[in-house]
Amino acid sequence: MNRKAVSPIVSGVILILIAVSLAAIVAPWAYDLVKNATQNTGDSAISDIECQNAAYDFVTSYGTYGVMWNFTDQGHNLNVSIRNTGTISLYNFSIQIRHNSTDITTWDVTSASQRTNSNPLKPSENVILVADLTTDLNGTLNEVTVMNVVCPSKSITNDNF
Amino acid sequence: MKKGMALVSGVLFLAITITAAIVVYELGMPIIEKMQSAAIIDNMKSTFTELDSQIQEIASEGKGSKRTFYLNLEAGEMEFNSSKDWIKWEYETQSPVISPRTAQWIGNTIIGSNLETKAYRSTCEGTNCYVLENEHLKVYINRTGSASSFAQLNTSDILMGVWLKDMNQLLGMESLNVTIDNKASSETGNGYTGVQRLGENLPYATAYALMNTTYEQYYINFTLESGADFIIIRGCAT
Repeated sequence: MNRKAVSPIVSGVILILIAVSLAAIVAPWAYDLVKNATQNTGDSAISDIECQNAAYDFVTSYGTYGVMWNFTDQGHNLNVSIRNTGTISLYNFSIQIRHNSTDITTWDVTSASQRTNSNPLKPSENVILVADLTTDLNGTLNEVTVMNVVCPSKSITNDNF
Repeated sequence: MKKGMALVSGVLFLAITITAAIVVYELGMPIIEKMQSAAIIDNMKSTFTELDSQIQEIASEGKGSKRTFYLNLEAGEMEFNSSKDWIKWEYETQSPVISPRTAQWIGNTIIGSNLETKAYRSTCEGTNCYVLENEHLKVYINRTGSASSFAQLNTSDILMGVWLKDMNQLLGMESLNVTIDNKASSETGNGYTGVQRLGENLPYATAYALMNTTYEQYYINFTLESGADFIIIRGCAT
């Protein structure tokens, strides 16, 4: 019981060292946390700005309200004509169709008609997208939806058939 | 000692708070600025659409017809040019409201970015030509034939020359030949040349040539974008 405790000065220094060490360990984590949270919010906000200005529509003068298709035994094809009516370039389109009331299938667009990041569909431009139908389709076409990767939330649907 | 501890913890607390605030400010401010810019541009789009409709309305009325139009210019620069018959608003921003080198034509209103290119008809050493011009280049394209009257056309005759404005000299090149599948028969035929859109304040200008050959019918597109010191040549099927 005769042993001495550490002096108040030493204990203070130890406490400060512990606090500084903890701060040094926590600081990078806290920095990354704040940075990532802010960055994610920012990316989402920028994407929202972009998508607010993205718009496209069917070229109704082409085929039937912008869609031309043939699901007979003689041939199976589906072409869609669209126009970029917004101010943001769009690319990597895909086409989803509903036929025979309930059958829903999604198709890529042939590479020859696809628009890419390096050759996007610029504002005011038209394009005819050719669906890459890998299986034969039969029956009645009910609905065509065109989607893109720039603004996945912006898709257009045509059910005027 | 207690006083010292309180001081150190206070300083640490303050340092952490200030650092967090700086990080949020540094990362957050550009986003807020972009959002502000987007709002300003959106507001100006509406203003110009309204201005256009007012002008159309006045034009349809009798002589002496006039309106007062109130314009709130929050940012950017406005130019009224009576000789070129335009009202232009220019604003610099990093906000992704309009893709670079693109434009949207809504009636008489053009909404675009990098509108530094023009395309016009001219004569080049006595030959009719189209000129695609931006800050760095003048591209001369042979003007021949039309959609209703094809002319004899060889791919080597389409691109007449490229003037390098920065160096004040012509680009040294012999000729540009285009073939499909390496077939000589696709190089000559008949067809015509044209320009997608003539005028000033374009984000890019595209001249095209329709080649109607015995091998294949195809288009050759020559595109000059704003700010580019190169031309993009693309072929496509008819």
